[in-house]
Amino acid sequence: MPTPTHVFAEVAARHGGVDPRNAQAVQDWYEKTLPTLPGPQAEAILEELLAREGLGEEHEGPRRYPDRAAVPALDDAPPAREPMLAAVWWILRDGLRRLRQPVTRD
Amino acid sequence: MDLRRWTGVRFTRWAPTRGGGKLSLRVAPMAAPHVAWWHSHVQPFIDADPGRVDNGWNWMLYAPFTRLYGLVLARRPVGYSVGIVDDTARRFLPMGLTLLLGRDRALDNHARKSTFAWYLTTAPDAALLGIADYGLTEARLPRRLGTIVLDVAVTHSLNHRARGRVSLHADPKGGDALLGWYEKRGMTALPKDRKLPVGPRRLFAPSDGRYCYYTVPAAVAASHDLDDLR
Repeated sequence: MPTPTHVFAEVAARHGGVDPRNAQAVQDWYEKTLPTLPGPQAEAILEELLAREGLGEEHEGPRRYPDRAAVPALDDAPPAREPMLAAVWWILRDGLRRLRQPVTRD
Repeated sequence: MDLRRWTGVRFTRWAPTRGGGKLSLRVAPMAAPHVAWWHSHVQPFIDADPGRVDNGWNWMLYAPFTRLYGLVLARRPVGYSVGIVDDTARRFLPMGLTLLLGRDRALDNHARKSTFAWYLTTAPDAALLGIADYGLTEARLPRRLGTIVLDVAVTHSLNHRARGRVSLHADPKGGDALLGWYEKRGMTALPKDRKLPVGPRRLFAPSDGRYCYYTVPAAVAASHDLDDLR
């Protein structure tokens, strides 16, 4: 399923001239430089990373973790968007039917 | 006709706990603070277990595609965090992450659209029990977390006109157990001799009997299975 980390490093080295052994530089490249690239180039990078998923982890380097990050605030996690739900559709349909009914006057 | 194929479906809002209760959940778009917290707090626990498939993953590398490009790229990458809502302290505690490609070709019918689950992970118990100032006990640990995160992919697919179709590649490190886990959740393994849709993946990571997919009826059935948690 996953694309190994060494593939990310290799791709960053080829596209950004980053030292693939420098994990921090690789991370910074994905974090800061990648978003500045034109869409088609970023798309090509994404496609390559996807195509090379599951190709082993024999080249994994030492693992680094950031300092203890704060627990995310609830405001940093708004609920994911959902489409109009079935119930809403039914309510709308019933409402429209009522509107279409002819109004009778005494 | 199943209405959810046409009108969409809600994400899960609850997880059953081991003590028989319910835990309030939220499915949120993946954001930088989630990933930073995960990599500093949860990933070390995962990396300490060499048997885990997600050992060595680095979400700091994967997240930029979803966080910064959103819907711009043709494959429509999207990341979701599934977390506990701590209303008292106004905090969000990620318990599962997934990175999806919203636009991919279905494995069983290459002309159809599918969601591809590229990365999918859940937090180990030890990481959840160790959250400072939260005090999660064994009895309040969530059950069915993996199923809930997989359901995020199905829900995304249902809500984005792929009618529930989801595909993924079961990491070979997970062996038969992982493949069996996906099959138990209603997925079908693509036979080795069946070709992948046209694209570079067919060349670099060809069909190996470990690509799994949800057909539309199987996805809808799996989605119904979690309705009491929505």
